[in-house]
Amino acid sequence: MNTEILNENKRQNGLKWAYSFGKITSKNVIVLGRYDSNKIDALKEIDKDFNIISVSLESKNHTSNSDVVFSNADEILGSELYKTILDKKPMVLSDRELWSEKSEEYTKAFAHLTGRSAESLRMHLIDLGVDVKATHLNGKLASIKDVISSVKMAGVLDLASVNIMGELIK
Amino acid sequence: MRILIISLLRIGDLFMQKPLVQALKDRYPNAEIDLVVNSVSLGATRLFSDIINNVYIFSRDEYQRSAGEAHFNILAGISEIDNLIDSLSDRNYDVVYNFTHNRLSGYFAGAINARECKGLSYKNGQFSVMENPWMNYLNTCYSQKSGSIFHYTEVLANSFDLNVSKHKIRSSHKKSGLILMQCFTSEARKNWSLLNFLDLKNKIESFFPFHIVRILATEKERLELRNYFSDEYIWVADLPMSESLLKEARLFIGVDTSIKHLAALCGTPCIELALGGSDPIKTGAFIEGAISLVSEIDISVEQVFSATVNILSLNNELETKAIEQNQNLECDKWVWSQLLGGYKATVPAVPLTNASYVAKSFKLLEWQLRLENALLRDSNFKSYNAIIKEDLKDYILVAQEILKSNIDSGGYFQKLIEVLTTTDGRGNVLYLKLVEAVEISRALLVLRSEIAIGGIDVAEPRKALEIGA
Repeated sequence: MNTEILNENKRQNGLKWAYSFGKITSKNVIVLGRYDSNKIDALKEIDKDFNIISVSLESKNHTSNSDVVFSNADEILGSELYKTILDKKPMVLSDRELWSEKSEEYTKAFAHLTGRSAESLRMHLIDLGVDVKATHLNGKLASIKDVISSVKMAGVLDLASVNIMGELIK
Repeated sequence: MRILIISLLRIGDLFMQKPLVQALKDRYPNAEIDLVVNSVSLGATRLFSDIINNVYIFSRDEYQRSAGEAHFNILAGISEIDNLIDSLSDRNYDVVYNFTHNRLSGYFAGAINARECKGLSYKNGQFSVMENPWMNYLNTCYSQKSGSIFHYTEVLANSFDLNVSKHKIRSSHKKSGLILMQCFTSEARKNWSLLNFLDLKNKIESFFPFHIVRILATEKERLELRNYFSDEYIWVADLPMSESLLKEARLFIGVDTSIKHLAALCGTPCIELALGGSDPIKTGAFIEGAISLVSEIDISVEQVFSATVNILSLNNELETKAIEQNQNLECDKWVWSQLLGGYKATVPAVPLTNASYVAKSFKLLEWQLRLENALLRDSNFKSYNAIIKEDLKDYILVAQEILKSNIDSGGYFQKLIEVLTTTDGRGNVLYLKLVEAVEISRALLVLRSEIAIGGIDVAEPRKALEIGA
């Protein structure tokens, strides 16, 4: 009985965490943080068709149940996973409770995975066909306004989707 | 043939555009017609199911959300928009009709690969729009607070060279005893007091005991309505349910919301309470016999009840003043439509009993003659470096009389008013603009003189204009 209650509590906590992001509109989801099966299960309970990739930052001799493990955030940018990110544009659901002492490194990883670090923004824009020599964010996370201004600075005026997004955020 | 219609405004606008979609289907009965709408309007597209083949969704809220929330990939929204554009381009449309007419829709329309695009589109670094007098009218008069005598549906239809007419009242409505009311708009200043609605409901029930009154509401609105009405009077209804109920109703009484447009589509007689700047001439319920009660401040319960009695008693005898106003409006619309072109309507006739029409005609002519005389006198304006207010006193006097009298509801001298409020005082520029404005009002008045009054040609006004020339 106690085990059942414990499992149910874990299930409820997992669902509470999953629902905290609002409607998850992408079928491709990355869960960033130390592996927690309750949270993975909660996502599958919401939609069994989610393609979930769990990503964690661990030292090299540490075993982990995550799908993909990096020893530091910058490894993400040159990885096979990054090709998936550029192709599928997954949502990144962060489990900050499980970032613990690596909070700063996970924050950097989050920025890379969502395309909001300077380096990853540049890679995303190149993938969009916009050759941007550098992006200047002064240490903060990029926003959609940085995308729009970078595209304009590169002299590209006919990207309809970017122009449309520019109107949507006015 | 394959046609795409872009309609990215609100649900009410989509409802107002339905006659255009129907007109396209009537013109091209074998065409496949697709529609792209905002996600919030998806439910409303059920009303198009008999004329539309496919509905595509522009997920505006989701794109905005992805732009604002950090756990979305930074290009997620842009990527989704690209996917939508690619899907639509793969359909190889013959024509894209952009009924939305804003920059966003222009970018969107221009990006879709189609043989032709009608309406605003962005291509090769610039926006292009159909150049026709109705489109110019849409761009100028609809952006101003006053001046349009045409309904949005009419102006849009004529811009795209489509024939539309007001929805007809369905014949079955007379068998119904159901009266539906709708009480809330999104702007407080456009709302009518709930106490008034309660008073109206009581009056209707007392005078027409075989009718029942119910209020269409959302769940959120129900909470406030319960302070005035018991639960049995409040029907919480989503869009499909509202449509079903309106199709059964004898009458709809409501404020300025999309539900009034839905009522019109359902063929239900409408009484609209146009408060707080609502303009029913431009955006009222587009159905024959709709009654609009207009006020900036308030409308009395007696006025609404009187209109209700009018409709429920099958009394087609509107007050004389209302009849004359309708006739005057139809004449003004005919005059403008002849100037703008493409509006195929027979010349209206005005009965001799319409004294206000005749009085208005002579007053308009008087102003026209004064302006033309002033222009003849002031042809040397062209040589002035700058024209000061004192030089324009005769024109300003006429303009002040026009504005104060409220006679020029048809906008015959609209251009003159615009010119006099311009800040450009250079002599040659201002003179040419005054000439243009007076030429427009002359053209309109010549057309107006073709309208027969009581079946008799009125030779005097035409003669007066000929002398003025």
